[in-house]
Amino acid sequence: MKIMLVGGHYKTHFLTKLLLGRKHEVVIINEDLDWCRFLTNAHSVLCVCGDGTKPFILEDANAADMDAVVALTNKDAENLVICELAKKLFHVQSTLAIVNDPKNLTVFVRLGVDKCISATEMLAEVIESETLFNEVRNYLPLENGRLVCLDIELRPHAAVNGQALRDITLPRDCIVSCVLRGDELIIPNGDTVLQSGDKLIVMAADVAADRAAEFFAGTAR
Amino acid sequence: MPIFHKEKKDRAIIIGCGRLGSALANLLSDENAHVTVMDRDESAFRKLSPSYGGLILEGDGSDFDTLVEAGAHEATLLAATTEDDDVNIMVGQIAREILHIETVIVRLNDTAKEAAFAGSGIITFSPAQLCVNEFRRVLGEKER
Repeated sequence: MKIMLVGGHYKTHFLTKLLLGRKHEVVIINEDLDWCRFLTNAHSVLCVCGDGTKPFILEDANAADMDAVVALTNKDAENLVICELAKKLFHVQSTLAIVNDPKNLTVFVRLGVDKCISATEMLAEVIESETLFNEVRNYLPLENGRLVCLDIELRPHAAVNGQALRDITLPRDCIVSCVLRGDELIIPNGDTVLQSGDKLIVMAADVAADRAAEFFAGTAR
Repeated sequence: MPIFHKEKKDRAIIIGCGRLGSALANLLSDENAHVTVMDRDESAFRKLSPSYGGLILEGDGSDFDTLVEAGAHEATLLAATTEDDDVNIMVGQIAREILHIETVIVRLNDTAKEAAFAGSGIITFSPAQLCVNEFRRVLGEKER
């Protein structure tokens, strides 16, 4: 694929390395002349020095030949204009923009950018899944992944602490099959009261796994 | 002839309170329109005349929520007059294609960027182009 990277600093450097390694062709547009020199030396790629929001710069870099244009500047408005010009003036197949304000994700897609990535939102997702994974130690798919076995440790603030299983409304399609408390192994019934520090072995349908993990990680309101 | 026909719901929003934005805001305010002028820089509002009777809002015009806060969803006119073409284009398109504002005017220093929103019904003004037009008119009158 022929890919054009517009703007960006280290992002462009590392992305170029990655894409060249995967046998893509890369063309770079960057405003910083010194950085252009560095990039051409480092990767031996075509690098056009200029403002990528200007149509004639995009033309200099042969935008019409590209399969994809990626806008990496740190201004959302610039990234939008780059993608739109690539799309409407040079008929580039796919355009991708980095957005700083997650609100702009939907705005840009409605205005015709093919794909938007928000670093902020991705970061938030990673942080959330990190905290989730503190409780869910293990994730074992069974039966071709249709069924999963989760190993969940109850934290001190979990909402289910101190409740008997019969009083807990579990999310659909999941069940607590075993409770490990210290050295004790409990096959639970309705009277089993969950405690902080308990390790639960939860069986769940694959679609219900996230729901189940979130449920036991949830804090008391 | 009045440039703005005032009806109850008519509301104009000016993004950027620079020389152009403030002059437009003053003009529309004198025409008795409901005007809101937005700028990121509070000191920009000093350019408004003492008789300016509209609203001012400090904030980023390219921020969707701020636009809605300014009442953009019920505006009939929006003019993007910041010094940054890209911001003007983005605000203009949000106004026209997402908020469906009837008249959207965008100031562009580089008219080549018009291609970014071709066919969306946004009106563009380019200071350089207006100067050229005026230049030709004045020279034409002299030759006569």
